[in-house]
Amino acid sequence: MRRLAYSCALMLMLATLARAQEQPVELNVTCVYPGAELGAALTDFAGQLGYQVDLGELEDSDELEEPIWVLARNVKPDVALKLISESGRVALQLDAEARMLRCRLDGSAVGKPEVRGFDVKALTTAFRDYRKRFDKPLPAEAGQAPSEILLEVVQRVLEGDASTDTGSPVGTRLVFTRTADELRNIEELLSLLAADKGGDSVALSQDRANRLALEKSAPRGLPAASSFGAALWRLFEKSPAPVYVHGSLLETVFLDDDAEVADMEAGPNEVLALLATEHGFYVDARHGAMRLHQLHYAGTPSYRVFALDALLADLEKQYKEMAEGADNPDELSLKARGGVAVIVDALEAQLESAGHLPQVLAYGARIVVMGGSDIVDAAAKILRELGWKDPAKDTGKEERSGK
Amino acid sequence: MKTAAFALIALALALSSVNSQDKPEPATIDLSYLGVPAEIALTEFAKSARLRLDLGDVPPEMETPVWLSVHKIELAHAAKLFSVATGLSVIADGKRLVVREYPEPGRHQFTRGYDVSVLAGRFVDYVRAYGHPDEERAKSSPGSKEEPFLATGAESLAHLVCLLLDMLWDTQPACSVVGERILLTTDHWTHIRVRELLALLVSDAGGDHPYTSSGRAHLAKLSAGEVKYEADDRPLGSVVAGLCKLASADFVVHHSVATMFADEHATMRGTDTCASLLESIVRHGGYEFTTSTALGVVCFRHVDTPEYGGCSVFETAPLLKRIDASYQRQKTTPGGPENLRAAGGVQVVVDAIEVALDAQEQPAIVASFGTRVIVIGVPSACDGAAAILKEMGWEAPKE
Repeated sequence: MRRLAYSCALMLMLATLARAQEQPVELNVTCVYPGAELGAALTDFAGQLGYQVDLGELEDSDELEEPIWVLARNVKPDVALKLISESGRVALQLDAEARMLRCRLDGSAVGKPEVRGFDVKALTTAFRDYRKRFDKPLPAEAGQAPSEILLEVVQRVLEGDASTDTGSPVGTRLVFTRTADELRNIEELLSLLAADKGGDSVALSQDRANRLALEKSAPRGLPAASSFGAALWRLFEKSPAPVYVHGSLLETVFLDDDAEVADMEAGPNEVLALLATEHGFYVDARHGAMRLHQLHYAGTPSYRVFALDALLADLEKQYKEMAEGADNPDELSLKARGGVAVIVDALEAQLESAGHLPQVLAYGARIVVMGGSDIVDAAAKILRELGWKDPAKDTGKEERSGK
Repeated sequence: MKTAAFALIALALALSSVNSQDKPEPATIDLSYLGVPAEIALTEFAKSARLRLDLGDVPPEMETPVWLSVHKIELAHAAKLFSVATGLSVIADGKRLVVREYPEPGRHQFTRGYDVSVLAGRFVDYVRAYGHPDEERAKSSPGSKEEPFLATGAESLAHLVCLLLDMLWDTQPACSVVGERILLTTDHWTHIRVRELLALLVSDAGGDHPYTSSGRAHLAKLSAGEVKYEADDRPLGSVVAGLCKLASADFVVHHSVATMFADEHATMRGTDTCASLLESIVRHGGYEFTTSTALGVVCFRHVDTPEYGGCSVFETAPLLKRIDASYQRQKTTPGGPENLRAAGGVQVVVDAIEVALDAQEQPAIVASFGTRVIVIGVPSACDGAAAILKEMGWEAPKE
């Protein structure tokens, strides 16, 4: 009996040990690389995990001496890995079995793609109804099915110029072959486009949270005669949210470039906006971190979908009123003016005038404003000036038509 | 009883204090810079207005002499006068005096949507009576095969507002029209001007823009009475400033002639009105500057720079009715206009004013919106337009 109990206890202990080996303790890392050389950063990061570095084709390459800018304290290794990878523009992979950090040139490692189909019947029906009532399609769009137009919108929002052709409209389904992360982004966009009130993407909400944290953590003001790198460090030194500068920006702006704007009264987010204007970069959220980048035309998961059904119905009425008395009243209708294009054109013109570089796409009565919360919130303000009512502040009394 | 009275007085005092807090009087300032380099003038202005000077990337050595003397004007207005005097973009943004070579897109600008449904409705009434201006214009050029683009009332109004902002204050904000709203992205000062212009266009009686009235008043001071003035070989700017001071007229010297006002010297002796003495200086010295108005004060500028110191709005609905009736009475020639609509609507009046002002050598732009005729020009051009309208049978609205 005693031997049996001993054997059971031993087996239990072995099973526990085996399970512990299968599920290693999650170890967080701290990566403070504001302008560090990529090679040194990789060695430090791997060292924190107890890994070796396999540089592969990067061995003896100049890439290892290029600077990266990453500031991420107490984050999961896979998050840090993505930030270092995008700042240094190299592909990185953690091989837990071999305890190795493997490095390759960017693009040589691609995640495993999966196939998934999305039923978009509700969206295409809404688009057809919009077109009947409000829009006179351009000749180029006239022969396109609503699902084909939707596919283009999805690709342009999420992938921009880098869009591949691995999406197919089949009837009222869209079929994509993408990585799991990319499929999640597509699903999010389609569900926001279908939502009655539109809404923020997860990345945009993260951007708002990051900026709020920055406002609380950073000092006010930007001293004169700072370098770009020094200004970034002053701004983000105590940021609780991870921050990184994407390689696209580091390729065109040097960290020792002068930051000529100086304003000791500006709040942290104003300072960030001043630096962004001076050095021509954009700010959004990626992998939970604040991202400074120049990938304006590469698509983004950071956007807001605005539902404009009620505004369009109101505008239709206004144009009808203004057409009274004219010999050809139809020429003055909202439909003749281009439907939602009237709003998109105005939005783009006003955002440009306010110093933004807007990217606005429309699908029926929905528009997608891409970018960080600075540009999205500026767009919301302009829409409110047009008479649009923000559903986020909706009292539940406003009428909604068009759906 | 005494206590109750005291309590009432205290309550009244407290309320008046609250009211004055609710509606603070805009800060005003007196400024006088006679040939002071822009760098020093801007620094002193910022100091006296308790604003922090933000020169951005403007080189600090700004040597253009500033000639400017104004009294009791708001800070934002004073900053705009500095723009006229220096040729730079000068904005008072609450805490700072922001100076730039060109207006910075984005900073100090915000978007506002103006609901113009009332004015757009009046445009519809006009179209019903006299036809759409774009359609009528297309009919008058039968050679064109393209269908005319018909502007809505709001689009026509937006075009007019942008023309006014450009001609009067050299401001070109981004402008979009969506339904019955006009969207403009510009600075706070310009938004105030837009509101003034829209209020003027919507008011039944029309009238002058406030800067036109104010500019006219300052110009009138120069002609008010005779003065005795003597100056021996003094800088031109100093002589001109002396005459404006004698007349108590606020003035600014446009940057196009600022250096000339410092470099050239003039001698003047005489007894006459300040306006006549100024004319005499120009005639004898052969100087290429003219006396006009800008932003509600007297402005001296180069003869080649456009001068549209203000604008006046004239309501012509009763006049148009009379003209329409007179066209109908004259239906004699087959193929000729049967009524005012066929003759071109309000454009008939606009053309007549343009021809007459041109003959008087009064530079002005004449535009229309529905039954409103808008004259953009110095006060004398606006007054000239009023006189021409009266000759057509227009009656000024009763006070």
